[in-house]
Amino acid sequence: MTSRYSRQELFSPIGYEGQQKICQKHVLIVGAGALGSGNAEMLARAGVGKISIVDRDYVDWSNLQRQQLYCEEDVREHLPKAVAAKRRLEAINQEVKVEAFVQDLTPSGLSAFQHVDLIIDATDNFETRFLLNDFAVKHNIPWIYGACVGSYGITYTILPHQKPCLNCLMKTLPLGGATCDTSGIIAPTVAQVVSYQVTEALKILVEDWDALRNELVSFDSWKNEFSKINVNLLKQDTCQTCGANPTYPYLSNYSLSKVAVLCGRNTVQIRPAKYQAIDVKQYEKYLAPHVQNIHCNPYLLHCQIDQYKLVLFADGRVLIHGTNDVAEAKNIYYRYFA
Amino acid sequence: MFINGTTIEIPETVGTIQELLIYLKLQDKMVIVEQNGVILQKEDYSQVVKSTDTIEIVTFVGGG
Repeated sequence: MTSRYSRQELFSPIGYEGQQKICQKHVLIVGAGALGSGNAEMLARAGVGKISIVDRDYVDWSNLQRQQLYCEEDVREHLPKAVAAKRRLEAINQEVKVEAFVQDLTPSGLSAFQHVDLIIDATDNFETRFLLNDFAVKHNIPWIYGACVGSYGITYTILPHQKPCLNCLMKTLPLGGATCDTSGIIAPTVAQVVSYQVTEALKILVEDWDALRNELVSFDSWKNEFSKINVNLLKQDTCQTCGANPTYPYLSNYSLSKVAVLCGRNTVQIRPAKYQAIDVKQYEKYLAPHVQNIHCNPYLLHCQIDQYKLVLFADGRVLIHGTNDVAEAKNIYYRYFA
Repeated sequence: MFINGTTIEIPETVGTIQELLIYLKLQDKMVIVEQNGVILQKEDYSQVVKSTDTIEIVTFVGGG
């Protein structure tokens, strides 16, 4: 009988031994959007032992164009992405243990992942990336930055203490703007970044360290541009994350920003000051007389109030779609959920 | 000027890296710049650019 991973084992840099390693490794994927979907599917097919996926969102029609793990049924069921991803990944490869976490990534949430072998960055914001960077460097876990917008993609593999970390790189950058992307995205851009990320991931999982790329890579596949820069000289001895006297600023000064405007989404997220798991079914009974189009599953509750669409998650978070105005969103939140 | 693998005509008024970034409308973006194979720190952006230079510019984006 031909083994499930025979083609990958025939590839000599992996081989049978490499495959055995892959099957014993644990990968954390942060974000289950476009990059998260692509990374998760390839890694599950490759036979990674355990995959943990963290995501705070649910599947929407606008995701289906590029987020390859999801289908129309997931949208109709209003499934959280992490849950829908787990379902699909288990259908693809039941040998892989998949864990789903429907939540924001926080320092306390991260502490459960100190022993993972690799972290894949598939988030859509720098707040989470800096947190990831601190955590990964502190626990000496390799992580792979990936991001894309339009037809432009960028990726960089960070080996803590050996290469400059995200904090080192950002020190040389004029910070400001540019973190909120509203220019759309085409699926091939995602696939290309995913290809870079998963190739680097496989090298790390089989411990072929010499094969790792040493450069920051970016491309624009519509404008036919490609660029790579060796950034090793940007490693800073004074870096607060990977320097001689680290303070891990993003881990230690992390404030649960209770209210967050979700960039480019016309949405505000409000998180209760104290984490508390809630029973969304209870809220369904309470809210039903006051709202329209109410729908509930074990993970979240959806409803419509005037021009706003509200989503209440079982971890207590509420998404208010239809506004970017924090005061307006808080007003609705306090009226129905406080 | 050879920028990210493509030859691009840059006006003569562009004399420094900073002016080049402004011309390319990248001054407010998060970028890392390499000039003729040498990676630049932010302090180096006043450095002179020439039409024969090879420039690599990588822009950090957040989407995923």
